Amino acid sequence: MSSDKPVPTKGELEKKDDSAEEETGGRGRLSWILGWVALPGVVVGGLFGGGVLVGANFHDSWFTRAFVWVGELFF
Amino acid sequence: MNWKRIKAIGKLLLLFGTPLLVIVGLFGSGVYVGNLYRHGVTSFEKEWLGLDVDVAPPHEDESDEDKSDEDKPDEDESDDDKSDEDNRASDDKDDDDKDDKDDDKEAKDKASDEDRRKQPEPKPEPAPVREPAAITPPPVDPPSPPPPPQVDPLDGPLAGRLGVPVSVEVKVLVDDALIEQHPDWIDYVQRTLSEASSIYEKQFGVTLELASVGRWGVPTAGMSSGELLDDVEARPREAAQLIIGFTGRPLDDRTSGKAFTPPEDGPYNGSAAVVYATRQRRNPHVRGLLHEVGHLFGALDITDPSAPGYRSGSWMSYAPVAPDHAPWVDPKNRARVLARKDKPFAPAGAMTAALEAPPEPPSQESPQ
Repeated sequence: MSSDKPVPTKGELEKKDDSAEEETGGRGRLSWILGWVALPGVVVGGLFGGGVLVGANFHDSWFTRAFVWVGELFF
Repeated sequence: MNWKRIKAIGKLLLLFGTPLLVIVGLFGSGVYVGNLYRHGVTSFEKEWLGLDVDVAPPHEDESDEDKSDEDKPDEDESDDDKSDEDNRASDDKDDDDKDDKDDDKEAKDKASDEDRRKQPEPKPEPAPVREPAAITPPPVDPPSPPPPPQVDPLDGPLAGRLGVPVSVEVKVLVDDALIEQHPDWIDYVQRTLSEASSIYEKQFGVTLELASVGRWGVPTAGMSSGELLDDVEARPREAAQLIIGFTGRPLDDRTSGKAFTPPEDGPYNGSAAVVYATRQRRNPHVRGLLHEVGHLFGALDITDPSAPGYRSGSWMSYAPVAPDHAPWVDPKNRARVLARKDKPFAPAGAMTAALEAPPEPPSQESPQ
């Protein structure tokens, strides 16, 4: 039982390590952007946008009036 | 009570309270902003998202922002003329920048509110119940009194022209889409024309009388406003001077109607028009009818958002107005209609022939 598979040399192994690091780095940046920008942006935007829709369409409700009253204390 | 327990409760409150406060703060600031700019938001929802919402009147702050635009020198004459020139060549234009409301508008709204208070509210007439064979009972809309028109005082020769009584017989055709929406379609047409007539009587001294109502057998889809106009013009007018097609079909792009508009020195007024429903109105066809009949009498579209007539919500403009906006027409178009009000109406087929002859079609397609 003998194998014809060539044994990787030291240089080849180092090259592989470099490319793996690059891949990990690219994925890391993507995860960072997703985790720190996109997802929080969606959450914050969703909350704010939901509020905008509620404020615009239910402007007579006690709920909106309460927030407007609080807002007017500051602005 | 030991200090440790108080501290623990404080930590717990801080742990749960801070995220809650952030969430409520974000949502609350959204509510505040949404309420502040509700006109813009609801306009966006209606125009871009196609949602079935009432467009709120502009908030004071929104109007204040527009006031800064007014600081420009007064461009009344030039703007209006410019927009008129645009109208000759333009068909359908985008009607963005819906927030243009100015002090004049506010003053007019206030004046119309006062008028409304002064005038006794007209008693809504109950719709007579018809009993067609297989039609379910009509869902009768709660009759609310229409806002009275806002009529500017006239002087000089125009006041004299206003006093000249003109009565116009109108034949109305109604397509199947509208009949589906309004099973009481005959009453609906009567109410619509009567409302438009009372407004025209006050603004121009023109009475619109319903000569007849009929079903309009056109395909419910796949016809442009131009094709519909050609079709309606080809129908027999009988004794009526005008023939108008009411359609309940979905808006063709942003069109709310189409009508033949006579040239300024033309011998005839237009005699055929198509009126689409305008969403979010108490009566979806009234404003479109006022607009299209205005075209028939020579009135022109106002497409320039900076024109005073646009900003004040003239029914000849492309400006979106609140559903309870008092019907009002800008002075230039009012003068045009007053000048042409007693001209004869084009005989059947004459407008189509005129449409084919000159390079510039004398028909005006109206936006929603």
